[in-house]
Amino acid sequence: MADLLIEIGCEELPAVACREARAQLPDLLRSGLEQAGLEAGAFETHVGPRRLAAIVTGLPASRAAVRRDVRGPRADAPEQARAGFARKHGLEAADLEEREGFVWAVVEGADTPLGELVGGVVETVVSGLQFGKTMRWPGGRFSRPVRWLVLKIDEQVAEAELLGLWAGEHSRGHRFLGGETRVRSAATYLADLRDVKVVVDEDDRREAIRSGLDAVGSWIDPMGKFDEVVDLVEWPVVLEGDFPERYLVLPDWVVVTAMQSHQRYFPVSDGPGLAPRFAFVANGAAKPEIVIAGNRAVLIGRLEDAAFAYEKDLDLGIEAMAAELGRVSFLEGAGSLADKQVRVRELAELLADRVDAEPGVRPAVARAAELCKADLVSKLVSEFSELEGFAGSVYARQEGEPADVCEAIREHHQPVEAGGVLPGSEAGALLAVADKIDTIAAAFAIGVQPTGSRDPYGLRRAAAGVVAITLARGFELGLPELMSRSVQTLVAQGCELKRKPLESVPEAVEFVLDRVGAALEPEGVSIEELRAARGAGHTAPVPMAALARALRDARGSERLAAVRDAYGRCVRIAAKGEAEMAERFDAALLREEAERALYEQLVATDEQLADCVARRDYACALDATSGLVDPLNRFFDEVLVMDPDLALRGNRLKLVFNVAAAIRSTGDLDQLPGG
Amino acid sequence: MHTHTFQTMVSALQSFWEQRGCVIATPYHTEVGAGTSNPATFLRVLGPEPWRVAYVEPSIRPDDGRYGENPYRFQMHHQFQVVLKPAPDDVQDLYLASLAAIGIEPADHDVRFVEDNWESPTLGAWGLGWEVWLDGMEITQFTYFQQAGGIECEPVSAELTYGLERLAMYLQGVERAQELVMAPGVTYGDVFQENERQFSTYNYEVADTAMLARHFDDHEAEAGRCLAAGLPLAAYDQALKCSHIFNLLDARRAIAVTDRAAYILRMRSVAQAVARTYLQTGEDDG
Repeated sequence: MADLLIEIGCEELPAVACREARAQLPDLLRSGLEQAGLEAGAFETHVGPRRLAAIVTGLPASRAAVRRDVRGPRADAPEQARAGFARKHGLEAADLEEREGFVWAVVEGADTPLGELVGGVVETVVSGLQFGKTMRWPGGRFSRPVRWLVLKIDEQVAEAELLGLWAGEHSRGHRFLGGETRVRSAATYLADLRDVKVVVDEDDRREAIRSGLDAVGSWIDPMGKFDEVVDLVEWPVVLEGDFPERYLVLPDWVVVTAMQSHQRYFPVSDGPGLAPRFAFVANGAAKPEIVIAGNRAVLIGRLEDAAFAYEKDLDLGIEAMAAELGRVSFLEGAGSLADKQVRVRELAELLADRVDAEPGVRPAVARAAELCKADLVSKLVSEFSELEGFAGSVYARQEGEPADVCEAIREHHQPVEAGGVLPGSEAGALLAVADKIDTIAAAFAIGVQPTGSRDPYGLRRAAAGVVAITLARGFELGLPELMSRSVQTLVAQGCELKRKPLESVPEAVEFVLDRVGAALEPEGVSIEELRAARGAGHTAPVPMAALARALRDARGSERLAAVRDAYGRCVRIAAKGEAEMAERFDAALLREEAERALYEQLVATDEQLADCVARRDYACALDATSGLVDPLNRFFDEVLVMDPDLALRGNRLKLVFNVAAAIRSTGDLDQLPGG
Repeated sequence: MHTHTFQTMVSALQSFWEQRGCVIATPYHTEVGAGTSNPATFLRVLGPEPWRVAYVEPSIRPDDGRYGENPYRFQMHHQFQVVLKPAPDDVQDLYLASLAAIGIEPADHDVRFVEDNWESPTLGAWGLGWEVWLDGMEITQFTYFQQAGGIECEPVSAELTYGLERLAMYLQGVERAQELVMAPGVTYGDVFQENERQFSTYNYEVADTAMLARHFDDHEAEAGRCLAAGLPLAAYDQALKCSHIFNLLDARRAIAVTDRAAYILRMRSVAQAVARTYLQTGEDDG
């Protein structure tokens, strides 16, 4: 049995690339081994800023040869041809066998030593890694340039080439504290690297950082930088610095942002408030006093900037900031931020009507809408973009705006990321939804919607936010109405659209509905159920989600299967007969008992459906449609749809069509897997 | 080791890169917002010919002016720009050695390469790389050029842009750039304070916006004429003038929101046409 070490050495990988690689490495390694025909005892993978590593244990020393029969020329071929064939396979002509009218060579083959296979494993892993962003350099394409490759089978260097680099046994330790080192074997790899000041195992780095921070005191990480820091260092050393207490007069969140954004420092709390101290993680520190002094100076500079900006902003006041918004553009060509605030206010008020908001909420939303973008021209937000929303709420409070208005201003950005905190107040939720819907509608209208992986204005996140908030609050909003209003106001504001007004609205609506799936996936709704629910034609996330959940709950039931089959039959017949279908259904043309019965059931079902759907009770709606199954089956048994009389034929096709339409209000059931 | 003055620090960088085969170029003779815009970078990263250059570039950003009252924000600051084409395999080590050459021994510090990606919509250019941290302070932009003027860079160049004021402040241990020693007995403030005051006043208060808007149109048209005459270098100068005028108009808050995107698109179109013509001209000359 042999152990294998793979180390792919890189220039500093972004933390996000480390995360991507970490998620993919085990599967890629598994498939690399499989393709090479190797079975491993066990393996582990590690990712850090300068290396991707895999330690594989319990590999066979070689892959056993496979004996195979190779067919040669026909049995009656000339002697010369038989000899040539035999030679080709390293055999004598006498060794060939004769079967089925041909000559055969039985090729034993040779075992393939492990050393000749590992290059392919590395190749599979590296070419299979998918990064969100890759770059080219003179030598290849990867997240960042690859600079060395260590490949060892036990104590031996394996021969292989990757991106023009020959595998060796020399790795590189910490840039300044370690230097180059010879790796002895897979078994000693982690220890060999530790000797040159590299903690290869991410969990070890994580623990070292955690215990270092704990030793400093009661540290906090409100902006969630910890995981990133683990991938920014190879030899974590937690250090502590202080700053003048006078900066603590700033709002806590401003101080926290100065520390955490960009610098990734950890604030230290002191009872209820912040302490004038900070902890940070250096990548090794031979002279900690120098490193601390440098970081301290940087933080003080940032706090000084924040304090200066904060005071200037307070002098100016939020009203004056709001008055500046006419000068600031929103997206590229969708008017100014002042224009946007007008649209957001309109939408928020319309929404407040649609969701029947509490009476007190409406004035708060309207006022918050007038101020929500003002902090974009504040000095504080231009220094620290993360304070968008928060800064506005603080400045609004300073000018005596009521608490609910300030809250709504702060919350209108939420959620700032997938799965992030949602607005806590109804006013904040309405404003957040209005803001995001307007952004999406405007972006599509001026033709800057996302393409492929490019989403420069964060529209996917905005759409996911709309879905998350509306589902959490049960807001039922017709997206086409809201988005059309946005676009119409955009036009009234004199904005030149790149497309015909409103042409973009259906696409923008679909774009938002596309995000419902991701929101429901954790609840166990399948792709098929989601597609089926989508097919019911809803233009709001709430009813679409309610229907998808009802379909999930009914999954596997015989009743649902029967309705699905009946529906499928109707859809196919209606589609085939589309050209001959009557424009309107005419009850006077009903002749047979079975078609009359079906029609009567349809009328009754339609009524029940309207009632269930109005209550968004889709379990009840699914029940209602199942009443159509028997009459429909009888109809198909007893009635000839394609009657020679074209009037009857057209009318019957229309009846079938109407039955399909009724069932479709509980989903395009054809999307569900068949029984 | 003695502490560098601003100018001995610059000459140490120049001599370091000169020894590594760089042409030591001069700052460009018209205003640029960054050393990247100097044709010694923007045009030379195009095409296959190897190229190594290093130069100081005064970076003119009208909207960053603070009348000389801010400790580190100016309408003109200084960059030290290095372009290595193709990017050598040991480019990071070379960079770190250059820090040692100005008295920053990496082993004494926490020097880090932290992801940073660069994009210039007006140049149609982008690249991936890092910002380099020295004990938490960003001192250099390090970029592998992927595209310039909308054209893929082949081979890929490495671009190093040192922020000279920041580096010097760190080396000299001063908190305000104005206090930096330029030469014995002469401070940065002595040399630049009055410039900052006058140019901030001009940029924010005096510049004739109607005239500037006309000049933008004129320079844009002239760029087109130069391109038609097969003179991409001359056209590029006109493009740079457009870019500076745009920055001035922006500082004067004279660009209507609805026009902004159009201005940027116009500048990018010229930059891309220059890049294409530059490559064609190079090919025609063999």
